[in-house]
Amino acid sequence: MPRVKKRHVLSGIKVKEAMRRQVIKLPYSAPIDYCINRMIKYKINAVLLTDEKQRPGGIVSKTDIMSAFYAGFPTHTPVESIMVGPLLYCYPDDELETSLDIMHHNGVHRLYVLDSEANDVAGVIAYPDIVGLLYRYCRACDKGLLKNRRRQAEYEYRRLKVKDVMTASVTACHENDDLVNVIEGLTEHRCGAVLITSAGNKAVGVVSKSDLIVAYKHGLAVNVRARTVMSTPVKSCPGEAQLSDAIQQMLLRDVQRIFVHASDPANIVGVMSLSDAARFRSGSCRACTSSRLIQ
Amino acid sequence: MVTDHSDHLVGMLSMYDILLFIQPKHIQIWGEMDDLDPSVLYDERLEQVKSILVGDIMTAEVVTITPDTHLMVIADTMIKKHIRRLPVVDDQEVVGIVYVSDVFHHLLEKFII
Repeated sequence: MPRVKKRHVLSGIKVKEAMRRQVIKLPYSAPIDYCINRMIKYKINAVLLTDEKQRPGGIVSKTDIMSAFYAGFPTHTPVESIMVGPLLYCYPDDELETSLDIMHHNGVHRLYVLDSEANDVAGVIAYPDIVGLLYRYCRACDKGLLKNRRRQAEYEYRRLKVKDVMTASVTACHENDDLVNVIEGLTEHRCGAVLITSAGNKAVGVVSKSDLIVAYKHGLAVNVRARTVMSTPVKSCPGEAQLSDAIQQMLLRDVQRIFVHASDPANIVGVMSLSDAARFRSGSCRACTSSRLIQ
Repeated sequence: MVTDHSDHLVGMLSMYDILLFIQPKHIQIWGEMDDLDPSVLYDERLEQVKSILVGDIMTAEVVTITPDTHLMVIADTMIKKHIRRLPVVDDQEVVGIVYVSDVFHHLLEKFII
């Protein structure tokens, strides 16, 4: 059998070209309340925690804060009580592909980038940033959908659709369920948001981890009903939509997932997250996919 | 300036903070945006802001000065920390604010013209 080397759109890109250099840090003593403030303000999913000598020691993610909400911690509790460590690192000159594999194998959504000379954190790579990179690649590509639409191209490439990448099982809760049920659903299925449905099993809203930490910060109890904190309307697209259009919608609306509906928008049949799109590691058209296998 | 029930300063909220919150996080990837309608984009984003309170995005670590802080120290703080405004606090009570333009025009009028 000949060795088959896989080649992706991201091949050859170094971590330093893809990483986000803005790293939000907090001291161990910062209250959870302020940590939530940083997460909302900078639209991040995790905050790096540093000791008194500014050395990184652990992180607190939205999941950890959601667990603190569930466990009934007061919001003035220091973040040190809920932090997770040790940190997983990669280095600026590592291949992006290798780092994505490390993220996938360890089941984490981000890696901090360690500058070994300065012994300091120089950046962070996370799935949404990678998808942003892929999207930029697609927009600039001559075969991309945007340029293709403009010039009414003579060639029509077969393009990936949302239904090719989406996950067909959707975690859902009823609008009258309390937040305890929502948090348990999120934890059990390891997802970032649950769909909220009404009596007729129609999708009426979404509760994400972001909605939960905002509710926690606003002093709500875990026994309030899901409908009081849910975001509406449900951001969804049809399964036949082009993958690149769906990615554009997610990036512009700052959502990390988009639900997929059947012919009736209230009938949700799947969900696609930015992580799904990142794991797929291709651009959005078959022209890219076909270059993935070389001998 | 953001104050608590006792009128004590607890944070600052600037236009920059609000704009930062309204902007999509990954906006830098769009080099050309002429195929996107800004009114539709902003309509949706402004809808999201409605559930967010001032305390959720304000900056809590506020650099302050007192009424007797030296003018040169004020200018130095503004330059070093890239701050355009400094609340003046006297015994936990907010008594005023100094903008970078105040310092500039004061120096201009007093010492240069």
